Amino acid sequence: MLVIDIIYMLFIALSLYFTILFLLIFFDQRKELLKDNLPKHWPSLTVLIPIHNKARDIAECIRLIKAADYPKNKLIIIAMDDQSTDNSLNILKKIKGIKIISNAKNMGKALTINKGLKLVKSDLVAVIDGDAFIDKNALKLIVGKIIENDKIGAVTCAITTKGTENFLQRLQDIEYTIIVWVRKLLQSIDSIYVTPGPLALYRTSVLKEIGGFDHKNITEDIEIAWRVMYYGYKVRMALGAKVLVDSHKSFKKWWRQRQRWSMGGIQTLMKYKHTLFKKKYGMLGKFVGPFFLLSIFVSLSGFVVFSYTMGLTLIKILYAFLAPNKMFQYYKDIFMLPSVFLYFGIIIFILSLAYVYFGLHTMNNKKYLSFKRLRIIDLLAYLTIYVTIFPVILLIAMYRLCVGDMSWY
Amino acid sequence: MVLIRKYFLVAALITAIIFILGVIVGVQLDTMKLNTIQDRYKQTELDWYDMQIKSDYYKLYPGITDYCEIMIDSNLEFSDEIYSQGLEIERYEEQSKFLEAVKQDKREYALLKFQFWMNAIELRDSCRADYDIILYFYKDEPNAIEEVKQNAMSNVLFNLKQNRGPKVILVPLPIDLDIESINLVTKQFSIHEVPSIVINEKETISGVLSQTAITQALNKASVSTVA
Repeated sequence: MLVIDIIYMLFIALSLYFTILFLLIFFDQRKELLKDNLPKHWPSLTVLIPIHNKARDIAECIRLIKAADYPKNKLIIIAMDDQSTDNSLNILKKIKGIKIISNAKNMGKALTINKGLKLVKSDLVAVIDGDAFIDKNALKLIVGKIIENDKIGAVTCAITTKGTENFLQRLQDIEYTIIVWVRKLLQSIDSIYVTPGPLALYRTSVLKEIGGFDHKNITEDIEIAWRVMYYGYKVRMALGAKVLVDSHKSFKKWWRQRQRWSMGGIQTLMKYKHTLFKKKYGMLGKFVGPFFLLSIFVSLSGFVVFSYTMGLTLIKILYAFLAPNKMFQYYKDIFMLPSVFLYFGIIIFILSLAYVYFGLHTMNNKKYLSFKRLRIIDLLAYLTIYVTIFPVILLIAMYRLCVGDMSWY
Repeated sequence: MVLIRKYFLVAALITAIIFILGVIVGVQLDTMKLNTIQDRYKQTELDWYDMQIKSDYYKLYPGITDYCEIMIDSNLEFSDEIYSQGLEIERYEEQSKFLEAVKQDKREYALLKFQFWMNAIELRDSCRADYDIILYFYKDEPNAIEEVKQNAMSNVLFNLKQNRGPKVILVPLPIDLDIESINLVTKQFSIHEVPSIVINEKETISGVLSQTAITQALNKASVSTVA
């Protein structure tokens, strides 16, 4: 057996395991997934909105927060302008009923939130991005979730995308939907590993106890979730709390965002490497860290196998031009002389298809499951091309971390 | 916590079942392929003995019929058989992931091909047969690049065989099975890399050739020009 065959077998085994795990949780919990509780009482809530050049969206963002179904006497909104160079600050000054903080110099998102946190006296604190549009029920549903249990330190929500005009946006739409679904499944094993920026709720006492956001981490929303778990609190998700965010129309911006996510994920993994496989850190040590680590391995090993196979096939095809009659012998052999590796690949693909199907179906994003307007092609492109790009992003992110290149930050 | 543990254990169990079943099916498939390969070896061996006995018989009773004509036909028939079986074995081996053909069988098969090559030369020279003999050197366990090149060369030779039919005898010989007699030949024709071919014991060419290049090389070293 070749080394590449062994890597392939490991890739298959891990992919199989995680796909089966998620499908198993889904089938066991599918009735519970969509249940959200309304709060039995209304704790005081402060909404922190860090803003940097959000002139286009900030007014609508705050209008929606003010319009949210939450007692007005329990809600405080603090908008924090981090030295915007556009018209954001002037727009904020015209909005009534909010507190405004303006940084004297650009501090970055994490430090801006921490600065706002010092002013918070309410029971709960929500952090909302300046370009996120929350649903009317979002605040009450995340609050309903956090007060279910004193050990819940943070609650995240369902983030979906605003536009699906171009191909890349539609692929992101599928991706965001699947992420929401998986995140909800991860709740069943106490392993939600991120409280994303568009909307996340924290107990103020917990956020202060753990020292606020880490400004050294480029994905402070991943790091904070790990730290909440590190301190023994749980992270939950209110699936009915919906938030809309912009997806990227241009490949360049999308690429940068994904690199930032990858780098932040690895940075967080490195920071908490001492928790790996250690029981005393709960699910953070037993699953979240190892899951991240193995996901990196699965991603890279899949990429190695894929590149090796594609590389060899490409060379074979190039050489096959020397003898055109035999060019398709390889493809005939695949079916005439079946190899178990091919069957494993087919099993993984079918399970992935089922995984994505149940995700889209459960999240009610069924347009990609339809043959109308050829949206099913978007789904196939997501499963083949889109997912294949991630290992490349991961590799570049690892390289950039190694050489300390964080130029966009 | 009990529920969480249940998820992990059941997922591990299902994965293990699918994985073990996959491996069992894989081993089963490989076993079937290896059995086919062994059958092919056995069949070729039998056909070779049959041809040799036939040759001895005609030598014993030379007046019965035209020895050369019959032996050349038998030789060409055997050549086609050995070549097509070689291709089939190669394809079966490529698709086997868990089990490998027994080395000893491979060595026996290689020796048989070697014997056949010598027989083909002897017949060509003694009976003035007008076929060309191409010795094709390959590795039984090539690295990735060698494998790609071998595949390509094998395809080129396949096309050549299709075009020229009985005018060409192709004898593939593995150079990495540690067989003394084959080592002698590789030394004699200065074979240092795979794929390499030797046309009519005259011209040695290494690397992958195009269809046109091999046709030209064959025309140059063909028995008609040799003669």
